[in-house]
Amino acid sequence: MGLIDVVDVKKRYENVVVFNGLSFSIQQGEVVALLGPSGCGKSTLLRMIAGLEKPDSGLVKFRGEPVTKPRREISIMFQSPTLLPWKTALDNVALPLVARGMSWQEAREAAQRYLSFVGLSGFEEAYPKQLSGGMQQRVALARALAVEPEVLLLDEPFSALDPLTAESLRAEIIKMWHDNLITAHTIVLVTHAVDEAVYMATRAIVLTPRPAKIAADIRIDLPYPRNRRSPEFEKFVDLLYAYV
Amino acid sequence: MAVAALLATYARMAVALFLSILIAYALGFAMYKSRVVESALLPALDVLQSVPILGFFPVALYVFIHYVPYVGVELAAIFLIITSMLWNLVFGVYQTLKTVPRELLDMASVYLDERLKFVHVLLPSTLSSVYYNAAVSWANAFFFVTASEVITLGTETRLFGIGSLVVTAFQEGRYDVAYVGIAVGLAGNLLMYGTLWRWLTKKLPELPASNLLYHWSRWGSYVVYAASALAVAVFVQYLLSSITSIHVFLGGVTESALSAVLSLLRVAALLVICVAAGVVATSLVVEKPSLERGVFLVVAAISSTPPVFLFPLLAAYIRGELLAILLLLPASVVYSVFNALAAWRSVPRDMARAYHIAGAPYLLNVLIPAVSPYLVTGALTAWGGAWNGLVVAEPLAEVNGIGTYMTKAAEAGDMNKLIASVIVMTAIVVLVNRFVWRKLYEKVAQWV
Repeated sequence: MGLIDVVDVKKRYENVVVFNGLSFSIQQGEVVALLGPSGCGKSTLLRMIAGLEKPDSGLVKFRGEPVTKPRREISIMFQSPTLLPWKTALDNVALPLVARGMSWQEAREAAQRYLSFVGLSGFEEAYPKQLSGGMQQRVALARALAVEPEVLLLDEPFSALDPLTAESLRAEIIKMWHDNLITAHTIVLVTHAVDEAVYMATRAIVLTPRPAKIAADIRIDLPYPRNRRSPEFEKFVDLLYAYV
Repeated sequence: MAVAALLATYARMAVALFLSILIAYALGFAMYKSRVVESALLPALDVLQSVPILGFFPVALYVFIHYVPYVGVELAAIFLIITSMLWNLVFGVYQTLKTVPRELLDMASVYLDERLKFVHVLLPSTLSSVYYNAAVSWANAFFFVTASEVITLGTETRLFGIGSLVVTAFQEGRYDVAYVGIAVGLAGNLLMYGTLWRWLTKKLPELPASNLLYHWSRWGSYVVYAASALAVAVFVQYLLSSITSIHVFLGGVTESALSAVLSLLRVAALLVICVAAGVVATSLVVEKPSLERGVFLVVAAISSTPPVFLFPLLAAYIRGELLAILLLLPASVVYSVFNALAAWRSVPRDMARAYHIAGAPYLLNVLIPAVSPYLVTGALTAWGGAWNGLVVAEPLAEVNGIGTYMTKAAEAGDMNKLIASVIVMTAIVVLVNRFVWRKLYEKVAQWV
């Protein structure tokens, strides 16, 4: 049994079979990249782990308990920042904490810490529209971390950013995880970029086109921080490309 | 009998729709072609479309009857219907022209002449908006035409149509005739949607006589300006000559301002209901997206029942204040619900669920702010709809208010009081639009 178990999951949308019996486990401490072509169901899988969607049959389990709705131990960063445009950066991070029973004052203090943690001190009172795309995604990261989850789910959060911003955000998240600066010891990342998977993950699961099956499950045992130019790095990139 | 009455009503609407489309093309193209015309007409149209036109109808009735014998009352009705149909058509033509892709225009200026550009690029790009807005205008106008027929009941000249048929029959106690009339009216509207409007908006057939339309698009606006100037001159002249006593007129202003307070309270209560309905409908659809179609159909069905039809159905059971508000509801709730529903996809439901934001924090911090920009638009339109509705709903429900005041003045032929009440009502609507709605609108617009 792993921290997260996907057990014989089946899912279809009308005539399209997305999963026809998919199973795997994720252990505590792993950074798992779910790789696959567009439309293969990676995001659907992540949303099932998040409890935002239910399989038609089969189970997703967290610590052996079925995930039927979003759990407090799991937080998610979406493809777009999904910030509330009518709330300041600070209040966007604070609101989930208020929803967990904190007073606004406590929540704002915690939110403040996490905003400065992601490098946004000084922008507490800014509204999302006043921030760049990269800064908005940082606010979303602060929000995902502020609820102090055990598992962080990343649904292609870098895909809408410019390459430089995306690269620094990737590096920061993986450093936070590696140096144990965040409560989330386990990260599940959805991506279609092989390079991103090799850069961040300890393990890559490659999915086939629909109905998705596991084409490869590969451990990436390179030390952090990873060097894109090293021959070992390229070896893993080539290996994964063979399956994608 | 009922079918004949419906056909009479539809004939008025058809004439008005034809003229409205012509005017829409004339003005839409004039605004598209000239910055000056654009900057002059846009604010003017904006004010005009917010004026409670039904309030003007009793005055228009007197003016047309005074200047045009025999058919004046018909012309007044058609004039009223045009003012209820026109605005969305004009804005529709104008906006589609403004959004024709740059590359298409470049292509046209390289390969085509002015006339071919009009016929093959500009005109086709307006079709979908014109047909869609024609259907909207038709629904809108049905509300006004039935109301205008009923308003003429108090005067010497009458309009034969489905609205007057239903209300006369009900008031004379011939309930069967009234109910058959309502059924025929509703069936007629359903039929129009199932056939004509569906066909037009799906197939987008080309407009006939596109060459004539080309010339009309170049010169038609001058015809419209001239006709408007003439109408304004005639109205002003008639109004000035019929204010016989400043004293009575000013008394009328005070009286109608006082009765408007009651109406204002009624409209406020109505808006609260509308906003609540919008929020509830949206939260339902956010929870269960499959409900969208159902909610849409229910509200569309409610809204296509004009107060004139609702009155015989309700008046047997309910009276007074509640009846007045229920009669106003279809003309207003539709806007708030449809607008709020348009927002349901922008409610960040997944985010709220993933972060366990539920209950009051969800309502106050997520749902209501997410729908408010749309809800304000909806409430603003509902507010305009409500004032128009008042003119028929108040007298039918026999409650005091500016609508009743206006109708009584019209029935008594008291021009001093009638004009005073129209001016008061218009002033309230235009001022509140300017100072309340616009402020609110700017505030929520920051969020989107």
